[in-house]
Formats: sequence, C-alpha cells, structure tokens
Amino acid sequence: MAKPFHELRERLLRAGVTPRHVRRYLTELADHLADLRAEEERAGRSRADAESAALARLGGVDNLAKAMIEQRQVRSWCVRTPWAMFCLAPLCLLAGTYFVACVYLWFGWKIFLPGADTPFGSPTGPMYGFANIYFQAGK
Amino acid sequence: MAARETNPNFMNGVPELLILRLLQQEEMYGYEIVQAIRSRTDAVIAVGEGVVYPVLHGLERDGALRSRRKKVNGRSRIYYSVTVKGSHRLDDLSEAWTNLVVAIQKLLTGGQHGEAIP
Repeated sequence: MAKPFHELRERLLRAGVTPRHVRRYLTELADHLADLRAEEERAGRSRADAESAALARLGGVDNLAKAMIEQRQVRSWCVRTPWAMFCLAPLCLLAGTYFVACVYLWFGWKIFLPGADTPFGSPTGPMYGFANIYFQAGK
Repeated sequence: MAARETNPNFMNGVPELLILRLLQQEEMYGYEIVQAIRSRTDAVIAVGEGVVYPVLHGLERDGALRSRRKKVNGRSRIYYSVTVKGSHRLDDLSEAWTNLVVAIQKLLTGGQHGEAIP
C-alpha cells in the first residue's frame, strides 16, 4: 500500500468503515494520485515537486478520513446500530436456531418414529441406519 | 402550514448535485469528475479532490449511482453512472437549489419591496 494512505486506512477501519469500502477508497485515491502526479509532471514540475503538489491537491489525511467517516452508509452495521447487532441479532439468531431444531426434531419424529408418543425415545428399541444418523446429526 | 426545511449549511448537497448532473450526461471516473467540475464551473467550485469518492460511495449505497470496472489504457478504472433513482434525486436537488437561488437573488435585488434596484 502507498505510504500516504497507511494512516488513512487505519483511521477508517477504527471508525468502523467497512473493509470493502476502505479498500476501494484507497485504490481510487491511489489512482487519482497517479493521475494528478502525471498532470503535474506534464505541467513541467520535477518528479518530487509533482508528488507533493499531487498530495496537496488530493487533500490531507484529516479531510479524507472525515469525508468518508461522515458517510453513514459505508460504515459497518456494528457501528451504525450496535444495539441491533449486539442485542437484537443474537436474540433473533437464538430464536431462529431453536425453531430450526424443533422443526428438525418434529420431522424426525414423524418420519422415523410414527408410533411413538414423543420424539425422545423409540418404542421398538435402538435405531440403526439413516434414522440413527438423522438424530445424531440433530444433536 | 407545512413545516419548512431550514438551510443550516448552504453548501450541503452541492457536491451531490454536481456529481449527479455530470454523471447524468456520461459515465465518468473520479478524476474525470473533479476535472469536469473545475472546468465547467470555471474553477469557481473546486471540491477537495479526494473528497469526491466518499460522496460517490454514499450515492452508490443509496442506489443513486451504479459503478463498473473498466480497463482504460491498461489501468482498471471504476466508472460511475446515474440510476433511475439517481435521476429522481437529481430532479429533487435541482428544484431545491433553484428555489434557493431564486430566493437569494430576490433578497439581493430587494424583491420584497418591489422591483429590482438597477
């Protein structure tokens, strides 16, 4: 990665901008910088002067970081809505997992234990073959 | 009476408006957009060159722009173009800005008390 953007990358990631957007932003900035450098060189500046002029035109790290961080849409959900990600989502995930487990057990009961009163015991003794694999996987 | 929006910052939405307007005409990549803004506004409006990308990313996330990679002269560029949603947004922004400009012009020319001062 180009040296001028290392600090910018760290700042954006710390502020919760998604890595995908950070990567793309830095790629675009690097391309833009190359275009500006070429433009400055065409205008007759030396390579070193063109580089510093291009960096000045691109903007300082503070401004570049601030502009990106202000775009709420490019920040990760954990930063935008921490209450949803750390409270609501785990609860929903837990409820969903419980529901799927119940459905799985219910299907096993109906398919492999049609005469049983509960899905937790076979009236005909131990199960073998696919039925066994099915309930073992359910565990 | 309907509540009126305030204008806390007159420059709010300007980069968005300019970018949407330029991209409505043709697809461009970041460097081209900045050059176009500078040349078409006679350098009156000069946006921070790197600052244009967050605006582009934000508009894309909102569905106002779409992007695609294109190889030009051996370099991979990300070109942006306006979507239908972006066109509607441009219409809204243009209308808001036209109203604002008319209002300011009216104030500057003393329109509230009659004809413009020659």
